[in-house]
Amino acid sequence: MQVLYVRHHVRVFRFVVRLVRDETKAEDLISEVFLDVWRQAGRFEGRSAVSTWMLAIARFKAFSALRRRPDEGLDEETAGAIEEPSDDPGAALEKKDKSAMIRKCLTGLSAEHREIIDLVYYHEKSVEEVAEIVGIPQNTVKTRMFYARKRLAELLKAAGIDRGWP
Amino acid sequence: MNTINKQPERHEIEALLPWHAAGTLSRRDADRVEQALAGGRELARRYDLVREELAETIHLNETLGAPSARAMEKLFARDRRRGGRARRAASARSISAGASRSSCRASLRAPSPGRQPPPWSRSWCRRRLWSKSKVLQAGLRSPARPAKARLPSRALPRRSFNALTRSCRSTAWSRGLPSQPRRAMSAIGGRPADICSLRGFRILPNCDISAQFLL
Repeated sequence: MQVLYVRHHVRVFRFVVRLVRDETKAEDLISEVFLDVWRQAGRFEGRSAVSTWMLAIARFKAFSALRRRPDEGLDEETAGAIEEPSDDPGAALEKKDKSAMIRKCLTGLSAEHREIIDLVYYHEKSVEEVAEIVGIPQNTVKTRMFYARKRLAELLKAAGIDRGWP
Repeated sequence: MNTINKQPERHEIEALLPWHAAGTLSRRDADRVEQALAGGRELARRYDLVREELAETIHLNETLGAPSARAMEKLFARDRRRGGRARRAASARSISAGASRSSCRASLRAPSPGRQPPPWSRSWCRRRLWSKSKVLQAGLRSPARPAKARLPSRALPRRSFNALTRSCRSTAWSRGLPSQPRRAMSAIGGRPADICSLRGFRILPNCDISAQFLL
């Protein structure tokens, strides 16, 4: 278990913390994830990578925790906060920093869109692996990724950065 | 007609751009995307946007840090507690398994509708001991003469345990081998499993619990 933990805990933690937006909660959840992985090790058939299997368990735990939490309507709130242009000079300066704004908008996406963007870009999962983790067909994975990127572009446009797409 | 056919393919290629940027496409799909990128300036521009998103997503995730040592300690403490509980449960099962020879025999009998044996004895004794009950009974019924029991391994010579042990020791001694049983047995062509079987049978008459380690 220690080897497994050392090898995967950072990535699993980052995946969970991006979904639940709470480090303490994410730490508790990854403990549960690793215990579950350890208990269910016999059921792992080796058809996918261990990381894919672990991320699927982590995703399930994270979304279960989000469902239990009543205040998880924050996605729209965050998006709203990004859409409203601010007059203070700090915000104006931030607008110039395109990279920072993209990162800010990435955090403002919905949990579904955040997870697919993270799985593809950061966790380097193929279409098949994302489909397995999220539990949706492969074509839906592509469509969801398209809409996640489209939403990101909309948020950026609202924040004053027009990328000319879509 | 050709333009109409190309339109869905262009969309399909565009949908694959994030995976192409991450390097997780198959060779065939990657070649398709590369060809499309070489032929279309607009697609190449969109690919730059994808790469920008990829870089910022990685940057964002890398700034999230790692879980604290508290999470690791908590996890391993839970695992230790769980392991301790499992060991206690296993030893409780072993003790109760050896506590009564008659209860083990009773569990091998067909269950009567009115009296259900405990689940572990049904699943464990019946499935595993029934097929080897003759071997077990031989060990249980003749405590004074364990070596005459029919042993499960075909590789074992039909000699008494003491004679075999003497043979191992003398062979090991004459060949200058260390006197560990594993090497000594391999020197005379025996298998380590045979030694385990012999050990089990030797202690069998003295301890009922050892019956389960035989199987």
